[in-house]
Amino acid sequence: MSGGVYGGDEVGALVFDFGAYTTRAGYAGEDSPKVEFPTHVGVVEGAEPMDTGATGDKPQGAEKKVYIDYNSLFVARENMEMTTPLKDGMIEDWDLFQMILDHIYKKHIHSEPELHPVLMSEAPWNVRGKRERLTELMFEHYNIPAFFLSKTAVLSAFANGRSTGIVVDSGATSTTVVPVHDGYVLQQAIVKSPLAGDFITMQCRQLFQELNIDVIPPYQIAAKEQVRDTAAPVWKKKNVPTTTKSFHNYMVDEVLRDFQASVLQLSDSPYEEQVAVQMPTIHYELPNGYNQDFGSERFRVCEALFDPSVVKGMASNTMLGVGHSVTTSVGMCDIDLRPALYGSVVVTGGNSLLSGFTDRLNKELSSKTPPSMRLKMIHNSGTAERRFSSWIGGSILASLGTFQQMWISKQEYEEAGKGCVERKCP
Amino acid sequence: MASGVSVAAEVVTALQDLKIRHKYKYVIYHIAGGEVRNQALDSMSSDDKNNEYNTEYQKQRHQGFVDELKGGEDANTCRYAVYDFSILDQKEGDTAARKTNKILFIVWCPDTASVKDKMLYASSKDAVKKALGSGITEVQATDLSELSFDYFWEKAQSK
Repeated sequence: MSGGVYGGDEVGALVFDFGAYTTRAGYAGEDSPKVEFPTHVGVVEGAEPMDTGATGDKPQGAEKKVYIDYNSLFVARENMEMTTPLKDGMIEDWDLFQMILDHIYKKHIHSEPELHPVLMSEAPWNVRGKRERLTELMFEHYNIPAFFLSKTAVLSAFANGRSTGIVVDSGATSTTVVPVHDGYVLQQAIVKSPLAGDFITMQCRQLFQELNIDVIPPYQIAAKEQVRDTAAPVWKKKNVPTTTKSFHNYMVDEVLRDFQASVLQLSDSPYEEQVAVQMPTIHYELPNGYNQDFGSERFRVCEALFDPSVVKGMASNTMLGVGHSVTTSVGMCDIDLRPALYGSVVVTGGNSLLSGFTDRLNKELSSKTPPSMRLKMIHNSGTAERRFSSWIGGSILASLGTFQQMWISKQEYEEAGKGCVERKCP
Repeated sequence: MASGVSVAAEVVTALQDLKIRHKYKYVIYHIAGGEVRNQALDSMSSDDKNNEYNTEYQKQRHQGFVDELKGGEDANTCRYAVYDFSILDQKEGDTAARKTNKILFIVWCPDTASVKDKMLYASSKDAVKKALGSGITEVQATDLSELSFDYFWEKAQSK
């Protein structure tokens, strides 16, 4: 894709999008991010400083070694704890965050930070202190020529051709519903719910416990043999160092995430055992060779996304199902705005790719939309578009010729200080 | 947040001509060279003036507008437009039909358009809307059902 249609002077801007599950980075103007890797990093405390030639970056004075990106992260190591720099979508651990940035610049961009303007996405509820600190970091430490911060929901809405609408972003840690009006986020009406990808992963874990099936992640397996349906697996354990619980859990979750994507499906209407058992089963084989058909479980496990009351063992269940989150959020907006919001429900986020997600949401919402309003759901059918919609939005925005005047330039930063981010990037 | 696209003076002039002098039935805008500009101006004919509240005639006129806005079978491009929409409106409980005129501001972003186009038009909409000022009703359209005469009617009635 050439960025020069609108007289765009190519500036080689970079776009970063930090998600709860993966981080996306690449050049503005391209169709998809150059690199995507887990936002989680592995940390070994008190390790001896040594250069393995891997991607571990060691900050000065810190007695820890950090592993970033698939190749070094997915290796079983003693005492490596999995951790993430983000909390609730916002940057919490700035050292780790900086190491990830260093890693991207060094290993993937292969260029100097001071040559490229940076557009970064942020959570719609990001707070002023963190925005300013990030601006400061980018200008002072990385010495970038220009910077822009943009809210994920706005980028997703724009990338779907809407400047007003309600963005349903179902990601790993949370499902968020964010109303956007004329390109601005309506902060007071944001609804967040923990019913998202990680929650479903947890439900899968419970399912396997109930079924008495051990989920063995691939890193522990040396060899396996073909076995019959539901027969005990025959496999050989690989000789690996003792790993930490957090690493092991992450690897198990990886298996479960695959299971989630290939087996689970949301039923069109509220879950009913009788209907679900008649649906076709799907065969799934775990990494250790165990395999079986999954029938009604396929639907039962993810039902909680829309109906949290089915979750067992949660005493005070106050979580909102996805459909309910949308209506709640719309209900908090001005009454004149509601028709426009129901008229453009933008669905995005990796978890929304769960089979049947959009159909179910459409069904729930159409029963809840007031009769005087039209409901329209906008969702991209492409997997990449759905998962990376905010990155893609940022990529296009940053490559527009006219957008160049919107950046916070280094000069502006030097004159006005870090506070200018609030003014330039509302 | 905006894209930085500016709005040419001719855009506002065209709107004034449409709104006050009733010179045009509709005006279609596009973004070219980092600026929102006029793309097509459709003049108001004497037929138009005589049939201002003739629903059948307006429906035909509307079809012509939709065709021009879409710009061909597989154009898949985004556009803005202002449209002088006139209807004879009779709500429940009204004794007589009322003449209603609404200036509609249409943001046409078809689902089939490229992401780049959608992004450009959606992020520049705010600037156009500000330039056009108050007294216009916004219609976001992404498919043909949202360009239909009935949908416009619905929008013209609200508020």
